[in-house]
Amino acid sequence: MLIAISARGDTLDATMDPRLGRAERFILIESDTEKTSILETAATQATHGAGIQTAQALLKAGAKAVISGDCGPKAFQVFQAAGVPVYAATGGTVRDVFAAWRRNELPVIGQPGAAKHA
Amino acid sequence: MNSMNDTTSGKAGGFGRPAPRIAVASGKGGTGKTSVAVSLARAALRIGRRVQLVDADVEGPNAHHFLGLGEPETFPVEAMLPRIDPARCTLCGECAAFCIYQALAVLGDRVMVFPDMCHGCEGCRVVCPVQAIENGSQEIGRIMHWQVDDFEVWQGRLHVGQVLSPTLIRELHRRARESAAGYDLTIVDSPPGTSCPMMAAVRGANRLVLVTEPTPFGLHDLELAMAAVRRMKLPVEVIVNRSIGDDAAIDDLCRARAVPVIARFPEDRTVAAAYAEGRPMIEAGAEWAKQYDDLRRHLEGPC
Repeated sequence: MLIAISARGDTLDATMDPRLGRAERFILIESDTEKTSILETAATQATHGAGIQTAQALLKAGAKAVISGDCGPKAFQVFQAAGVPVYAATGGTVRDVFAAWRRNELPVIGQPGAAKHA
Repeated sequence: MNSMNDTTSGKAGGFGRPAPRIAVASGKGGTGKTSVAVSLARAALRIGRRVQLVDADVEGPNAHHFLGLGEPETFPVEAMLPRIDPARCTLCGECAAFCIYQALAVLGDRVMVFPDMCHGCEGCRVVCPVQAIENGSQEIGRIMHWQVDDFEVWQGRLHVGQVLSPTLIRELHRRARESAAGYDLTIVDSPPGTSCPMMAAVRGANRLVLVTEPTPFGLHDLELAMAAVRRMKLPVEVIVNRSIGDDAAIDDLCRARAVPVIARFPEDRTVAAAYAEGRPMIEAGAEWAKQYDDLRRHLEGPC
């Protein structure tokens, strides 16, 4: 299944981006093969609804799980409607975060964080 | 007075002249707009004028705290919100792609609508190729109305979480204007700032008073406010509130922009004491009553 991790660079050694809606980009990892690809979400500079825009882009790309620092209420609604879980990680590299997810160490976000504004 | 002002209406209350419709605004919050607006209304009421006060600060209306009014008449204000007909919707995504506010999202088998992102433009309904979007509505706020003798107060209150301040302010103005003919004077208390709500509040006025204070913040935001309204071709005047005697920076700016300073209210503990009790500046003593009568006379006259 396809896992999306918000990232501040484009390799597995990049730091995880704690922002979801305004993440620089996402690294998509196919969990079976560990093959990676990059998704540029382009909502970093959006004036409105960055979370909604990013969530839609991730769903369109086929993400079945998302890992980020937090998830705002609107993106949360989108993921919830689509049945895609969002996992919270506190930091580290994309590689570390993915490994932690593999070990079932990351909590699923059950409640959205506070709305964020531009 | 600059030549731009010569093209606007002159003497207040004269036949064939529109009644003064004075907007009180400021770039910076907390300069004393509401206190000035209410004091001006009181000054006009004291000499027997019929006065309309419009509190257009819909995100934080507070003029009523100065007024001791009873229960208002209230009117709900609604804005368009798309309603999707799932039987017709083909999930093509045209609506979501059109909406720059991201108020719609297409997810697998449905379209989600985010009411607090929607600006009510109806664009989604227009672009939908299969007419699957109808005009629904959501209540964005309320309008309050008080009528006490010769004094009419209108106030808008935006609901928490709503964003359509300008829509609510336009509806507030529309209602107030319906009864404006019965009044000698309309005073609009604008929201602070220089963005859309302030512009919507000021629009339609025939005279604008910017209240500022002699601080770097007051000066900076006054300059922004002057720039924001420049194209509205409104006569602009400035009141310096809480002056401590040296307003040179504000005076320099006003001179450079050919904007007259029409009043200078000193920093005065009695005003603060009155304010703490919910009373406007005009009730801070005889000297203040006179200051406001002078201001009232000036603003009823030609600009």
